[in-house]
Amino acid sequence: MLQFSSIIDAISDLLSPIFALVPADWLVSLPALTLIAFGILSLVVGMRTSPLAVSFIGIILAGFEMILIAPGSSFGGLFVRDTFGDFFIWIILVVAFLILLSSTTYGGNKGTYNFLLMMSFAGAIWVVMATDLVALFLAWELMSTPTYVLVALGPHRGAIDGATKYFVMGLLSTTLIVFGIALVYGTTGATSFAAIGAFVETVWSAASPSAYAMLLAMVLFLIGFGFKVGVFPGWMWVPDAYATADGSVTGYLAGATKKTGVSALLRILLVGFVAAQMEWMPVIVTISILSMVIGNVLALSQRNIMRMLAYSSIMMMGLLFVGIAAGTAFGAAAAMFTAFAHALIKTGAFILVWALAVSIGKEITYDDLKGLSARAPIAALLMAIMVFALAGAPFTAGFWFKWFLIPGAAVDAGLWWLAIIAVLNSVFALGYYLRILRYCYFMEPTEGTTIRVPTIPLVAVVLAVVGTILLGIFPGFVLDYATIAAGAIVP
Amino acid sequence: MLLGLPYWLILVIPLLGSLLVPVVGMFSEKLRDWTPSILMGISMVLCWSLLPEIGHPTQTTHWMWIEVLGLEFEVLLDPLSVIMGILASTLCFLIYVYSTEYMAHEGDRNRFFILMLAFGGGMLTLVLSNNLLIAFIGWEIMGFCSYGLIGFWNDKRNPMETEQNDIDHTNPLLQFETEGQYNTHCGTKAFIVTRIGDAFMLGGILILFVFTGTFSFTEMAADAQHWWATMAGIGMLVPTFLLIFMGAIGKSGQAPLQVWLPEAMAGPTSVSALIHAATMVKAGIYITARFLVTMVSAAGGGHNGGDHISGLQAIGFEAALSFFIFVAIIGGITALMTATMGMVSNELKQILAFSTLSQLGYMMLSLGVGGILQAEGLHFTDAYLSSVMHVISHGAFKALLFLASGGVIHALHTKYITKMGGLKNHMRKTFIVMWIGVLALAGIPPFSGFWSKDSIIEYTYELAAHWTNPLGLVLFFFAILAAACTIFYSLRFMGITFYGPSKQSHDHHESHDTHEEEHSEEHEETQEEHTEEQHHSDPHDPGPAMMVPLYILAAFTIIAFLVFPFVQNIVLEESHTWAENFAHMIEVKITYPGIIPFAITLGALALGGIPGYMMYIKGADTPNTWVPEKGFRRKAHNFLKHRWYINELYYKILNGFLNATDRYRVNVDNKIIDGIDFKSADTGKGLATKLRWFDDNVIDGFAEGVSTYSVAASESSQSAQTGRVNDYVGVIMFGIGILIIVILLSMGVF
Repeated sequence: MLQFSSIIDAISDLLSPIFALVPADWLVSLPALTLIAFGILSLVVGMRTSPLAVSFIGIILAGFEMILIAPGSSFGGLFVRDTFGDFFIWIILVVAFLILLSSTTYGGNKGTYNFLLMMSFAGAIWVVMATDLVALFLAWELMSTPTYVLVALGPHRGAIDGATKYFVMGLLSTTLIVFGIALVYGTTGATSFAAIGAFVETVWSAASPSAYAMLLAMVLFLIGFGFKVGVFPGWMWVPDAYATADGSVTGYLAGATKKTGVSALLRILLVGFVAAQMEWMPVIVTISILSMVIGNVLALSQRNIMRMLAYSSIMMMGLLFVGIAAGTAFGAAAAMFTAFAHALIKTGAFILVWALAVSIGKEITYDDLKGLSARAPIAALLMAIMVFALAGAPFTAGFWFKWFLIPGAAVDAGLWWLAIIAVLNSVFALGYYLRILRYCYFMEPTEGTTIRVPTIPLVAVVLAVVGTILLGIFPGFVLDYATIAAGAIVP
Repeated sequence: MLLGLPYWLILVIPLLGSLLVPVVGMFSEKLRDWTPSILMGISMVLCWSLLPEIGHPTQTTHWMWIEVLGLEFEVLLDPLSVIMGILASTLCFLIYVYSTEYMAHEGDRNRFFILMLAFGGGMLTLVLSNNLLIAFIGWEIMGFCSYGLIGFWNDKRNPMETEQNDIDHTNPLLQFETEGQYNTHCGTKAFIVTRIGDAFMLGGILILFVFTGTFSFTEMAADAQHWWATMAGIGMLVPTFLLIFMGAIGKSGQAPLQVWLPEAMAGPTSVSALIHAATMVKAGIYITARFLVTMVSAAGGGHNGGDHISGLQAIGFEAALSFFIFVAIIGGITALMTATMGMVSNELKQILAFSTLSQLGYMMLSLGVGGILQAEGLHFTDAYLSSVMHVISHGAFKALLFLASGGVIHALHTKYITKMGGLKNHMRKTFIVMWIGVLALAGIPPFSGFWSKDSIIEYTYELAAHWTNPLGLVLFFFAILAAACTIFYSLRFMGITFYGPSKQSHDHHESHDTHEEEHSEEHEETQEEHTEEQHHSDPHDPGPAMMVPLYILAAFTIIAFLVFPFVQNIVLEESHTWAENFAHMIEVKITYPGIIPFAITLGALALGGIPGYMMYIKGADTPNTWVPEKGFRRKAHNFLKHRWYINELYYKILNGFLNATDRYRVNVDNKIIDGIDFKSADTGKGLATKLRWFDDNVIDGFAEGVSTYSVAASESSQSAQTGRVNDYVGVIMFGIGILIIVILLSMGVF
């Protein structure tokens, strides 16, 4: 990127009069503000025509602003763009772009749909920028609330059911987060992560009894934010909401909002509670193991592909927690790499399955995949690559994150037994991944008709697949970035 | 290398070339079929040209791959790698040439040749890489290609070919409707069983990396004592290598993971030959041999043996003694167990598969014996050399046997030897080359198998004689007994297939049916004429593209003893003359103490060979009544026929597990989590009642509010909500409890 820096400087010089119009304190949050502005615009445009182009312009503009505006802090230091936040913002923007491509198949009220999506994107960007519990909470709600409605906007009545569960669980997790914030504020008198970190350090060195209150708050955060990530114990809404919502929304939930939860947890654990690492490590390990096992066991018996992918997401997030459990800079970097790879693979997979579901007109089960190689060769090939990536085949992104996570946990933190459990689980996962391949390539189709998969979502899937393969061949590019980013928050 | 080409071309040509196959296929079918042969031929020539450069490469061998990780690709040019590379590329070349004719009438040859070529590329990647991680990638490429190739004939419309003596399986997992299902199942099985080993191996590699800090074999070997002593000191050495060895067990089909290899015969014969002779199963042997060499130099043993404990070395090679005992025992057990299974099988290729397993057992045994000898203060080199020799000779004669039997199967359209017979007059050339292969397999002098197998037995005897542990005697006994079994089953399948009355001519009609079933679906109109022509004629020898590779392999099998002295120089990096080595080779057999195991071996050959000859070749025309309907012999026969019940035991466990998960699905998942239907709502209600005390006390009001909301939101699923969301919330509450308990535990409160 170095060779571009002069060009970037030149352009930002050129645009500086425009940026000067924005209050200095808002400048760093400009990507999120742009998304909000374009969200409102798309609501207005959506009254007459499809506002998808407006949303695209918003996303692309936000991406340019990310490049052009130097990192810094905004809103009095509540929202900060550091390399760590930037890493996750890129994930969100990439997923958002793919999701918008896939949203071309959406058949409902497009104005509302785009507005809600854009609001949620903006909230997600603020979540990963937040360095303060209250700011984090606000951004979290801005991100979550539109998604409740988005899930309910799914194509059939089942979506209401999924959304209800999602909403109720979300409400509960929000309550837990608020309760945790109250505990923290009552004990420390501060809400910024840095201040909490300093306080926790003195508490731990003094062995004072307020440690219990802090730990209770931490467990509440783990559950509250872990709910969005979809790990134990708040995993149960995941398959219901994922399988019933519009596939594009599912892709967004799996690709981006999950990762914001990871980012929030990383910040809380590695900045706020870094002194208590010995205490939270067993909890993370418990969550990790239970999520892997639950995700795997339940995924195996699923017939519905969306549900299966939802459960496999649970398993993947358990795997990602192995990196968090290590608690080191490399562990965090590995977790972030995993987050990136998972965002690409899962978003692509959900979009593809959804595109198939749209063209067939029903929920995709294994039986519908029979002989897919004959009925829709390109979709089958993309599906095969996605499945290989999920299964961790070489030359895909999925291959590397296991290599990064497992040595990261095993070598640096001495959690070799966790590494073994993770390896066994990922082998077990082959059971349901390879089944897809078998149905796609080794079974006779029940119907002879070809499936016409809509083109634009397919383009999104192709982009995701290309990204997956590029990441598989040159993992260094993202891993380097992740290492620098993790170095920004891990001491 | 030749013409100063870079080394990486050797493996890049087949790997990338495999992608070229379908492109060529768009222009010319014929050229496409020959593409793998041509590309592999180039790789083969390049491999051969590595011979003079062993140990002193003339160009750079490093290429940076991923800079952040310090992961680089490095070609290893030591004797073992180069020999294995030459063996693999040459055999692959011959097998690809053979395939051009063998597969000529099959459909979907693009898939076949892509996988075949990538398979060879994977093997070359494995053997030529100096980096354990990249070697593992090659290892996995092979795993995947084997999956695709074994299940190649996946057409679901052909019924299973059956045979009167087949065992009836009660396990639902072992019952197949069609040939295609069976084949797909076999491919999946091979993949999964080897993956079990691979998972362990990956763990072992990672642990090894933790201690050595490198994936490079040469760096491990050069870093003498450092990691070796650390690992041995904390007792991680043997467990780590055992984990890695699990991978070798899986790939090389050693006990207890031997179950996949007999089923791997479901693929086309050239695939079987490729898996058995050149690639896949030799990978496990290669990796074990590689670690033997690396460990010896890492522990400071070097090539001079004997004085392995010098002043500086706190912990020498003997730390790995128990690892090599394990290797030797696994090898010995596999050699004997699978040889006995081979004695009763009725599938031609399956017998050969059992013999492969048995010979692989010999190689493992030999490597283990070498390690034990080294640890006991003797040379490891001789036993190691015999293992490498056996890899070579086995590669040649097993490829020969498979390709020849492929010709037989191709001509008769049945895989059961009980449906063959009297072929010696019809397929004269095949008959002769088959005899050569069988004699080599049985270890009859002067064919290739004799020299390598007999020296394995010889060094096992040396171990038995020198080692105080009686285990040495047991291993020697296993090796001898396996040799007797080997000659017995070799003669048995030769006798049934080629001698005796011809069964084929009498049931011409049946042959017609089988043939139709096997082939007609895949190429209905185009091959009609061909099949007509084929089934009206008598079985006959195949054409030149299939016969020429057979002649080359047969020639090598006969003159192997002239080649082995060269190989010895290369493998041990010695500089004796050819005559010296040759004289030594013969001298060992006829002087004391080498003559003792030689004599015992000859005895064993007579023990197995004479009954075999009497029953199946001399008595080929009379029906065999040696195994009665009842009694001990029948029981023993059944025991072997069921392959010691090991395979079926695995399936039983697997079936039990699947039933359990299915029960879980039906009882728990379906009713509580799955779908929106009233049944599940009822169960949810039931569960909710059980959780009522929890609701009443903790979350009653909250839950009521939730259910009111969902009634308003979704009438169709209202009744489901009351029970189920409560359920979810209950799980979260339960989770909070668990996590708080965990955190209190970690703080040491309880």
